[in-house]
Amino acid sequence: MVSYDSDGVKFSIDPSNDTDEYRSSVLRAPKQPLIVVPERLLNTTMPIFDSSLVKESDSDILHQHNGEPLGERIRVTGRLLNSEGRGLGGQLIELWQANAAGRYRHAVDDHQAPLDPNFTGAGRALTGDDGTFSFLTIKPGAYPWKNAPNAWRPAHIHFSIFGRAFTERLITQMYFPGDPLLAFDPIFNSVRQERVRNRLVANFDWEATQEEYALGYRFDIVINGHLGIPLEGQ
Amino acid sequence: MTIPTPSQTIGPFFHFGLEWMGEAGTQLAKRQHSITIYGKIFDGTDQPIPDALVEMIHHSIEGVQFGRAICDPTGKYCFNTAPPAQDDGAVIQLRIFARGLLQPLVTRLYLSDTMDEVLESVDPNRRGTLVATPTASGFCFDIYLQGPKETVFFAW
Ligand SMILES: [Fe+2]
Repeated sequence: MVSYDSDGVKFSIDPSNDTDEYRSSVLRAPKQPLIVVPERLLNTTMPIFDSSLVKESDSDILHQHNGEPLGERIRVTGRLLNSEGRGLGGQLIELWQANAAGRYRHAVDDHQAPLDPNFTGAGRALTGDDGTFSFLTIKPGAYPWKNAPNAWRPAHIHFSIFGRAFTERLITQMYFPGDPLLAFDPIFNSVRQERVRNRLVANFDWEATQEEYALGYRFDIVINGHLGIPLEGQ
Repeated sequence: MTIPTPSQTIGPFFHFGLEWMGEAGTQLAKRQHSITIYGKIFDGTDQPIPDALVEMIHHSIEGVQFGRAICDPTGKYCFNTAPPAQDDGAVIQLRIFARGLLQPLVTRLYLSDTMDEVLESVDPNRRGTLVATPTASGFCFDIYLQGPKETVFFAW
């Protein structure tokens, strides 16, 4: 996928799979160049999800068990936008994350941090008419990984945006502002342009902050919503 | 133009966040006839990848078919889907997400080697990597991320 900045200079939005400092990519990144074809040849309209499949309560990750999870409660709110800045309504967003101690409810996660019986860490939502979404959860903890000695992933939430068309499908990660681990993270820094990389960092938001309950973070997500219409200059 | 949000890897721990759709996918796809497509995904040492997510989409006479499959511990993915519409070239599009992939890989599974505009743009020596093998249980489509059998992947 390519895009253009405001000065008409072409640059790639998505990080290259050929990023050796991310060790897992070494045996998995294809060595042959991708074959570029016109978007219209690959595009297919995606199915639509409705409220029979995604309930309002699915976006409240704090109340999926009998008790409340430990950790710092947060509200993550934002809008799903197309590249012209218009909100996209009725769109499926899924997320998953580690608990406050940095541990995933997953058989493969062997980090020596406790699981929380009151926290699964998965949620989903359909965007409102103007593209708005809002999740109640806890702030995930940083966790170590084996990419390099003493390597730690910055706190992050995994986001999946289903998209209206096959070429819009997106899986990404949301990070927290001011995290000292960001500077050292090869996954975050695989996005080479700072302006593009900063799309991945949420903003602290007083308006989304709920008095005596939860801190608010704003995370707008922009999908390349041109649906096969050629970008300027192509 | 607003800068789009870039892709990041799905990582190894996605199962509990994304597996719910198995059920939803069934409800989305009510179909009369079905075919099975399956295969394994291999890394550069020809080891099957046990932690990939594969999504498929294609047209059929019963409408758009979408599916999401999580590879099993042996690296196998499997879809039961309606036969692709012939006027669509009998092709199924796949997107592979996995730890180690910062952006997903898009490929096309052809049920036969009937030429279309996309296949024409591929080096004839590599076209075979896009054609599934008919078997007793369906169509087998193994995907190689690297190596001499590397599958063709697409961008736009
Ligand atoms: Fe993660």
